[in-house]
Amino acid sequence: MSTENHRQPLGAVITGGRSGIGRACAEALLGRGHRVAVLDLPDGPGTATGSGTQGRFLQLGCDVSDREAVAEALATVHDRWGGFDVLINSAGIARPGPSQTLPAQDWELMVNVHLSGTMWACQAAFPALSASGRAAIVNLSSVAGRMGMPHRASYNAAKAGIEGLTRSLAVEWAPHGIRCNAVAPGYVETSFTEALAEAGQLDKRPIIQRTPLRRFARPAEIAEAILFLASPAASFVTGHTLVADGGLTVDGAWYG
Amino acid sequence: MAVQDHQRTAVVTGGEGSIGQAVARLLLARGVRVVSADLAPAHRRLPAGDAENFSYTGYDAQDPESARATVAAAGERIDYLVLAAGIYPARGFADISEDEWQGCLEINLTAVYRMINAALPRLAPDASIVLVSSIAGLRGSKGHAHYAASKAGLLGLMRSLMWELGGQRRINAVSPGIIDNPMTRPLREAAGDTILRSTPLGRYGTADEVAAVIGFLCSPAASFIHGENISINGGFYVN
Repeated sequence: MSTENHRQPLGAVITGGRSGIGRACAEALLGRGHRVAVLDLPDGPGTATGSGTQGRFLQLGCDVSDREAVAEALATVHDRWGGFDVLINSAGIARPGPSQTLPAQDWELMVNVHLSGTMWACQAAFPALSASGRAAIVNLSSVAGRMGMPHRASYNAAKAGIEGLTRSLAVEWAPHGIRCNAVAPGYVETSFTEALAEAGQLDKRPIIQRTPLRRFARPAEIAEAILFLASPAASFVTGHTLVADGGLTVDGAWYG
Repeated sequence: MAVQDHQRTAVVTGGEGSIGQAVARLLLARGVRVVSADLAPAHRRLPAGDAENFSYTGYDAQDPESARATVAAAGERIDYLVLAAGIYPARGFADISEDEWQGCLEINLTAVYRMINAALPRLAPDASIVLVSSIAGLRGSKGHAHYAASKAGLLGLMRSLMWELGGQRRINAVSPGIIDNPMTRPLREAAGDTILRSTPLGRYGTADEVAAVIGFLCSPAASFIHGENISINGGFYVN
């Protein structure tokens, strides 16, 4: 396992770290002895994971779409730890709807949380990351960032935007010792997808049928892909979006 | 519970080249039994514990029988199949002869078909296959049309085969950029600092850095990654 190569980091900041993929990242890092700071909505869903972590766990209430709040939260982490070297941007929400009638506030919320939130967190993390000399950002794209999907225009656009942002930061910040990559998960068993399924907005069967591995991912599997990119095992990998989708987007099944 | 690495077997073609050797070292350190398949053994010294788990078998990518002999040397079950054998011929397109074209395609692409085909009945239910493509397979490479075509061909092979492996068997690729090894020496010498100037990380990669990504793909940490091609290029492709 690549985690054998994990250097002891100064610490990892995880946005949206209280549920789903972000929470799986937090649990895996805490389990391996690393420091973890979770930024999440003060009154959002999910629970904290930090019991028994001997002061290695910080939790800060923060809306990532609020640039000043993000800057303040990351300054707090910087002060408490003296720095950090990993940033994982996994905060996300869902507001599906038909494009012809999509309310402006839904569009703006999706773009603000996913794309702007990722940008603000990267921006606020820059002083700590560049000071570490060997830092890594991992952003969360999605297979939705690469495929057309009905009723997901805002999500698709925001995720495709995150891949563009990832490539630009990779090129711009490499001289500062910061690698920047993204993971594009396929469908994952999280409270996010379960809620969509229960609301009738997500039919799991055709997705499983179109996935060569014939299943949804577990959050821990996506976390491992993220932690690989954050680790020294990926030291020459930057600007890459790692698709972890069980083969879904390759989609040769239409043919036969 | 997943099968532990000390019960697993890897076959590495091109196992005596720089990337192949780095992959073998990494997998041996995890306790994996490694069969290195190559034209000739390299001179190297392995730690005693690793030497027990390592074997070399003669492998000629241009000999259709060689693939069958190689998988037979691995035993009944193959867990990791790393196909790193390849050549990197340099020739302007107008001067590529039919023979040179065919030879390049045979070694870099057809031999991969032969190896996977021969290995299929022995692949573990959660086996991981890793192809070594190249930045040239994605972007093309002036003066290496046959090489680029063979490396792009690997990606087409991967994206089709991923539907036919079944179970939790996975196939992925890595696409190195410019790695500091003997294969790229002529290119690096001819390029001066032009490649480094357009590589955001400002350096060439190492064989160990390619092996680290291959090692990740050959691990349970990559259990939902299937049909993916990971670029290892210091941002060169991005720029």
